[in-house]
Amino acid sequence: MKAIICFKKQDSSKYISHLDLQRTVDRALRRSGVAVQFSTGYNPHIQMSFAFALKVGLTSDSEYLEVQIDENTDIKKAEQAIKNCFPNGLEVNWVKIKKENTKKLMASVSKAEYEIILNDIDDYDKIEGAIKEILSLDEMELVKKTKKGTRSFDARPLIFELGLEKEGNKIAALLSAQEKGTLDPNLLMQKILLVAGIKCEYTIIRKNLLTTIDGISYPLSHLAL
Amino acid sequence: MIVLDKIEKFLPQVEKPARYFGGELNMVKKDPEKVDVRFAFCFPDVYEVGMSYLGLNIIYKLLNQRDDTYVERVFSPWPDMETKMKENKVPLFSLETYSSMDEFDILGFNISYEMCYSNIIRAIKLANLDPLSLKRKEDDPIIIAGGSAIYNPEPVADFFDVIFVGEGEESLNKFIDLYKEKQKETFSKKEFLEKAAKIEGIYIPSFYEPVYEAKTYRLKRINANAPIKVKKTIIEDFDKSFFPLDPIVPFLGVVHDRITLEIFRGCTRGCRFCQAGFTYRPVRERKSDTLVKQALAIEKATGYDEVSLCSLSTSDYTEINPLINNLMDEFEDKRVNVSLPSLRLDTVFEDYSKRLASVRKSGLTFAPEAGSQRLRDIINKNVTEQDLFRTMEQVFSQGYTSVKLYFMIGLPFETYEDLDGIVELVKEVKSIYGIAGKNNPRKLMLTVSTSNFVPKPFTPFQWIPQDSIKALEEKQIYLKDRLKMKGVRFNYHNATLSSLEAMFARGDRKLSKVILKAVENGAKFDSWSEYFNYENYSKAFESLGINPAEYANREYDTAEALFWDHIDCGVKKEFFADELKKSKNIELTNDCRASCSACGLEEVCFK
Repeated sequence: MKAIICFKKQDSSKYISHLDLQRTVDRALRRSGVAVQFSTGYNPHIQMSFAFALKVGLTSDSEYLEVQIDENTDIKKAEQAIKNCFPNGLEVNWVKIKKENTKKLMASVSKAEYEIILNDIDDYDKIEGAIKEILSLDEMELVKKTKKGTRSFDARPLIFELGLEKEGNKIAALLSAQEKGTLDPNLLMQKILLVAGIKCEYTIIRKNLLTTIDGISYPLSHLAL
Repeated sequence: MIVLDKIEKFLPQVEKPARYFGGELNMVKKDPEKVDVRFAFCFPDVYEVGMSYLGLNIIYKLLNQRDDTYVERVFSPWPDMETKMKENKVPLFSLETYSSMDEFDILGFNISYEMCYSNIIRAIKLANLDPLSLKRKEDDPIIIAGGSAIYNPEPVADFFDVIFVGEGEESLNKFIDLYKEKQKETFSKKEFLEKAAKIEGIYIPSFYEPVYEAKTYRLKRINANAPIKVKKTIIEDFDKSFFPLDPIVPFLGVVHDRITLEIFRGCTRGCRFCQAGFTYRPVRERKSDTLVKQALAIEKATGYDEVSLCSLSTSDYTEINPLINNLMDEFEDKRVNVSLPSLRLDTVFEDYSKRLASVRKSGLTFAPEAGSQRLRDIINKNVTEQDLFRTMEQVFSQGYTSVKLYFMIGLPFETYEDLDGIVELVKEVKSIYGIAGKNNPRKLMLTVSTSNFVPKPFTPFQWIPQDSIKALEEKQIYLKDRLKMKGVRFNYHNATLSSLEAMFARGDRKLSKVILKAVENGAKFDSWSEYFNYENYSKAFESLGINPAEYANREYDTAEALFWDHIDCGVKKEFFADELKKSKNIELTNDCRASCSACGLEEVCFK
């Protein structure tokens, strides 16, 4: 059976790359003593996969990974053991058994929810105006860096929700996150500031990852028992 | 100053920001306000290299056992980070608390290889301190150094207040105790250094002065508190000596990312070019039971998936077979691999190779070192052609298809016939593969790697001139032309880098000016080919009117005073001179395990 581990990535762990995160979690699971499944061969590693890689430097409230565990595992005990072994900056929210006959997490993710905290800003109207303008567009061309150079793409269909919350000095964004199309919140934020014509420092936090079933979106925890 | 807020602004823009952020598993956390002594362990290279260094974890965890002391780590910022730090006026800082160096009492530099000197200067400057110890102020942090490449401290002597010679575990503790007294009694820096000079293994460079008279050299003692000779410290009971059971586990993939067990210190082989082989003497082993216990504890505390055995010559370990088998038995179910760094050619290979997973993964490395028996005898590398051929036959028939052979060029008394010998050996290995490896699935991939001989202090070859850069490069081209064979790949080291290494290895205090100048010229990360530029140094030598050949390419006379004569590494100078004579006569010296050659350590050495 499979378990889903939901964890935060913050503080000292926010600067570790996806590859380093995999290695870090592999070691944490080994230390936990939970009966996880290993690959075979000369260099056995734990069979696990992450839902959706997070860019280096961003923090997240809810990251997800799935791992094959022994059928007889007491999930409550396993949760406690795993919580105790994840290192600083990687705090485990919960560990649950994954529903059977569900797609891999990686294939299930459709959207990502972000919070963009604006530091030292007083011109909220300009931000609000920029957001309105962007939402009114049918098409919005953005340019992203790729390994081969740069590529322009239409970002508008990748924005599901976008709004300013003045109280908390922050922008909430629900963006597409799947193989077919992913919108980097950093790229969107640069566009917002460009349209608003202002400069401002900001911090991006990933709040959650969503899956969409029959047109309805749920947090990935929906796939756990 | 705490630099956290400042660096957070630009960390996302530098390569691998995790290098600068700390917070790893098993990092030591203390309240800096509640300790007496703050100690910055400075490793003058990038994080991934420093964190792979076993000595760092040993000293870090050992000194942090003290409640009165907090040791934090400092690494050289990679050039992209150094630029950002300078732009944003961020000084050198520690990974534990992001504190600048002025918050510390002691800065301790590790020196594991000569090519880190430029990075030491950069680090001291980035800490806003003067690199020259005599120019630093009374209340500046004390800057100390130690490590395996410090046996000739003279080229860097002007930079440090204190230099530790030998294994620093005990002397460092005594030094910190003394520092606490200084805090209480408020005696001056000079008084403190005078007291420190009395601790065994401590060298205070400012208490000595080089004197050059009529082409002779001597190091004059100018403070009566300093010893005439500084004796290296030795841990006698190595089995019971401290070893960290909860090492820091880096988030980043580092060079050696695994459990490392130090199975013994020292080496009994006596290869005449090898400095470590003499300076780490006497041989002291850790018991197999101790090692297995340590491995189990470390695995539990880290979750590492590999155990590696570390020493100068692993197959010489007395209990090697029981050790490997016990480790395998303990770790098989935990899916933890056991690996060995490299093997000697005369190792009884089949005994355990089949059970060693990572050997299979990465291919095998063997070091015949020289191409002819004559030259192998000159350097006292006790292996024969037959050893090589027999081992190759074994490994090829076990299915290995990738092997690396390691040689040195520019060895003392080398001729072009010895280079031809390398080519002949390679041809023979290829033809052995044709027979023993004919059923293997892939063609042979033979890597031939040559490094350049560097004469090192405290070896029988310390007096020997190094080949000129031109001579080394000619030899490299000679081999390159002759090793253009199918399935053979030839690598060689940069000859200018080796030449510089020789100058620093055998240098005196005049070189400190060269190092300072070279850093001004841009020298940094010299052991990284993308940053090494010989011009930084050649220009420095030229502008200071110092002839580099005097250090690298001159034969030192056995009668003259050497720049490192004030350091006592335990092995006698007469022994080295005798060994040099024997090498000229192509005479071998026995392995210490077979019979004692009375190198000077008889009293403390195992028999």
